Amino acid sequence: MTQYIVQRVIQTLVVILILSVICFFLMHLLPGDPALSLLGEEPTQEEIERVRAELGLDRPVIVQYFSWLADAVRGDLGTSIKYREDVTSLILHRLTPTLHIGVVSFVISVVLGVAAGVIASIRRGGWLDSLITISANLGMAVPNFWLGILGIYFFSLYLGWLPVQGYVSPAEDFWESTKRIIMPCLVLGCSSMAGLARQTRSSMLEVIRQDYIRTAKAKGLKRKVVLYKHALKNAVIPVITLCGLMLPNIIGGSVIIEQVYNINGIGRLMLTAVFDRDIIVVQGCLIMISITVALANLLVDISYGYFNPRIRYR
Amino acid sequence: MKRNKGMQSRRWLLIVGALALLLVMAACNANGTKSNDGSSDVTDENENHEATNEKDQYGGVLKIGYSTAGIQALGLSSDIRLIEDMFVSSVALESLGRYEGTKMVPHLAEKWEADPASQTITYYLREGIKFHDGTDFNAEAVKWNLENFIEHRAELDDISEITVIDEYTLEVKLKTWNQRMLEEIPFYSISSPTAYQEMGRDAVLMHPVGTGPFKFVEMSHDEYVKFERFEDYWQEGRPYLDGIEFILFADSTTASAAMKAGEIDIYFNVPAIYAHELSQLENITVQTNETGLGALMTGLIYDSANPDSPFANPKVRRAITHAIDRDAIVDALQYGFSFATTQWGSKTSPTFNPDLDLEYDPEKARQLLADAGYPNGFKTNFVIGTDSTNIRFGEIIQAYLAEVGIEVELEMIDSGRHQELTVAAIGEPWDGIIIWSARGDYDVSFFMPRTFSPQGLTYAHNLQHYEDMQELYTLAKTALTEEEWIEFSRELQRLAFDEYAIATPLYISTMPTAIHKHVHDTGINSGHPTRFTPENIWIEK
Repeated sequence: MTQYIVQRVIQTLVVILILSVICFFLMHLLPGDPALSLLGEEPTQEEIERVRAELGLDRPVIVQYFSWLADAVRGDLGTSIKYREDVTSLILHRLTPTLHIGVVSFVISVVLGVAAGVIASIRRGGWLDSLITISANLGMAVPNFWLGILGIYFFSLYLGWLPVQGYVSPAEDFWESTKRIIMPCLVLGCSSMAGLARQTRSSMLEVIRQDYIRTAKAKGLKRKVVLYKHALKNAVIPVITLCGLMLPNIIGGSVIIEQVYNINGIGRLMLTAVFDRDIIVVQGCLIMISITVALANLLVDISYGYFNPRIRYR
Repeated sequence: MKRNKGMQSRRWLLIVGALALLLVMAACNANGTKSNDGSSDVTDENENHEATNEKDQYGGVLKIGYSTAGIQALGLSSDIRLIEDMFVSSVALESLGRYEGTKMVPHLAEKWEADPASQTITYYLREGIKFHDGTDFNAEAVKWNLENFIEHRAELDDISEITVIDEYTLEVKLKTWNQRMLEEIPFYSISSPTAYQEMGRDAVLMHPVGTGPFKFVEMSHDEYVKFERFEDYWQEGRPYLDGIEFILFADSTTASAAMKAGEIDIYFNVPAIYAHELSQLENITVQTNETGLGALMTGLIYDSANPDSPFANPKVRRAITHAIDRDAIVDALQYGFSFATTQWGSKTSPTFNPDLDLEYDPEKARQLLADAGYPNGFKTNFVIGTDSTNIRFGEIIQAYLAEVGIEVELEMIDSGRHQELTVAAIGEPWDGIIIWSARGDYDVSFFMPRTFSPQGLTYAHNLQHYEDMQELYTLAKTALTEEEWIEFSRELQRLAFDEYAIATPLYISTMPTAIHKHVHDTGINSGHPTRFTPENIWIEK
């Protein structure tokens, strides 16, 4: 297992390196000049040259990349062009709301999605199954930003139950924090929840038809034991795979959710950085997101062994 | 039977659970944010409110929302370039003068005296004013600010010498007389030189230390900027508020919803569509600015420097001036929150030339095109942004130009590419027509050369330039009387938009700002849109 983990970490490092090269050069290919976005409406030639020199943008792109890489391997992700702040601290500050919303959204979608899938499978053909299947299809089809705006209009403006926007840390005010993240978490987790419900339902239906389930029932085992110990544990492997695939979606989805709910997280930081051509921040965000996703996928892979002891890593 | 009972009890549990969730959420409502219905309570309070004694005016934190791409600088005039940054910093930084309508009146200065003959302006400063760091506001501080500005920006380059006469008197000598300096010098805000020396330039940029009614507390990039009441403010009994909090919004829909829900008291510079929506609500007023000062003017500008372009011919450019119904665009696209204009600045401004006929007349447009050698029109390109308002704008222009025979293809580019094409220092030409943005201030001798002169900072690299206009800029700038200045400015308008038709102004934003009716005496949009009267604002309890 240790060898497997080491191999995966090495693979992840290679992936991050390749990503950093692609991202850096793609950002340079984009039209637009970071110096111009800093200088606003009417910059002079002298101002543009001064800012480019200050930011090191007057050097060849390859030199800029290796200079950034040399600092990055020493743990220094550089200084933001736009914010004139250390990128590592900028990212760490913005990571809190994104992770908070991402984790809660993940938990909600797994719990509700798997539960809905199980219910739909054991009530196959009934009204509950139809309701869950239709809702899941809708959940997958509806775009996040539209659902987010609809949520604001219904829960904040019409009913007045929840705040429209903003983020409060749970350490500061737990209740206020919870009120503010309910909507973003549900919206962010909606499509994942729907996907999980569909996957769980189909996996469960497949497993329920297996001979060993029939045998377990014939042995007189309780329905709960048959369902949750024998059927669900076997049906859950593709669901875990899907959970692993959900993580990048949840982080990617935060870009839209943070815009809609005015949350100052990593998604909003990355989007602003792309628009302002703040290459250093985009690189930093990308590395942070790659590490998070790689770690999450590693955890998913390791968890396979727990749910199905036949799976072993060499 | 037993199984059915179990199922029933689980259903009940589900129903009870759902009810509990509803109750919890209802409790949220009781503790928390104001709903739309709640806002109508505020209106009732307004109706009941007749006379408020001054004591009741004190207290409260005002929340102002605005949509922006971020904060660039708040602490130094030389670096504050965005109108949003100017607006935010104005609660902490004040200037020698303030606009009342279109008139610049003294603020930190008690008065100023101009002597065009000797090319000097003498400023007499108010005494007893302190910066937030406890240091004195005096002539030395103003001198330091002006010198720092000149070192980094070009707007005050006409200043040749600044002399401190005594602690509260300052003389500014100009290289040549420039009437514009009477408005420019008092406009820029004054920061504490001591704070700059102690904290350093980078720190001061994001930490304004001025003489304003509110002191900077903290900021979080893209999130908020907080200010608290400055106890030693120089105006007796002011400010009323305990603090002001600016909240940055990434999305206008969210900002508008936050305004409706009462999470913010003011929404600054609302996009027209939301201004229209908010103006329909009883508890909100939308203040507009009719001066054109500091507001964004939108129009069309052409690749006239390209000899192969149809737009190299002034008749073609003049044809477009007559081909577009500006009033219809303002109604359809701006919901009335802009005013149509055919020249630089508003129709009510002194430099607007009333003798020019540049109104919508498609027949005249067709005739001009035929005179220019294009009786059957031609094909061209229109470069616009990628957001929905820009696309709608592009489609409307496309339709108007099609009516006179010009076939327009829309080329959509993002803001980064737009800057590359329009910043003269980059020098990359666009092809055909491009959307034109400029400040709609009516002092044409100051603002027009920024685009229309060979030294212009935007668009100038792809335009034809005219000698007589260059001469008029200087004449208007150095005019000794207002009459002369008006005469030269109006001639500039004629040359720029009629004879040479370098560009086609269409409309100027009224910078709509939505304000909840429980907020009073904001002074927003009473002069320059980036300044208001934060010291006078009070919130009705």
